[in-house]
Amino acid sequence: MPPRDFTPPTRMDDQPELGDIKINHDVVASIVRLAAQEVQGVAGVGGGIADGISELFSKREADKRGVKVTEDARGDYAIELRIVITYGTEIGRTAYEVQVAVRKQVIAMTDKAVARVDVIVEGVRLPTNGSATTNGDRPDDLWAGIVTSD
Amino acid sequence: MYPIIEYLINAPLLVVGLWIALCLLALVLLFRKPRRHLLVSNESGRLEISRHALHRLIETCCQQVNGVSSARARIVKRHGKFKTCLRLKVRPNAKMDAIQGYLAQEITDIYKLNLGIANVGPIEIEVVGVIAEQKEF
Repeated sequence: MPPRDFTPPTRMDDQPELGDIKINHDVVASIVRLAAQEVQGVAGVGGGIADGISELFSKREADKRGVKVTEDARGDYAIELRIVITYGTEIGRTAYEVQVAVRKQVIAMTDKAVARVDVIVEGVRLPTNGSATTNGDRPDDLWAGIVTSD
Repeated sequence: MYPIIEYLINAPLLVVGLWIALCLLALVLLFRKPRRHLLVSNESGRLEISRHALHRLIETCCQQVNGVSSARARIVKRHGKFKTCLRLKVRPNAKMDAIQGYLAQEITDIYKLNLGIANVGPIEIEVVGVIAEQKEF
């Protein structure tokens, strides 16, 4: 029997029979969390009282803690992100870097547009390894000899 | 009949009232809208800071100063200006005038440079206690 030639059909992006690809908002929230945590100056994501209580009752919440993902009328993502920043970092710049990193990562992984990324600073945490003064701020013990009278 | 309904029917009115009040309080605490200050808003998104974070930022700034043991901050936005009240507990060897001048400058810098808030209101500093340093053995 002669071998039959099989040519796969050319895939068209608008072929309806291939079905839809839907991405759960929890997945997007996880992407957002990971992208935000990579930014220097972000000590953590989440931190509200309601988040903490809800996390006690549900383990799934841990992945999307501090992130709210919605879609607008055009299907673009609108992301709300609550972060805890490291003391000593510039809040405006850190938030901008978070917005850029989140937008870039979500677009790269989902191929969907991001309409807006709202950043809410929920807390401030002292750096554990003294890395807060990396952006040129004065060291905190500069006034040690001036303020006290030893 | 459910035990909870049976309990509510038989319980005195005061107990039921207390339970309802407790539940309402818990609901209010859980679902109340947190107070936030809008710092920047544009088409790509908003930047807000919660009142708690603002307090922690100012308090942490105060606690970095040598001579300040602990700090409590209260920030009120009135007529578009942020009025800051600080209650400090200091060390016995602290120089008050230096602390006052330094903190006023630092907090003004935080508002203006870090948060982008131009309308900085008065900064009131109140020393409420002196705490002795713990001696190391």
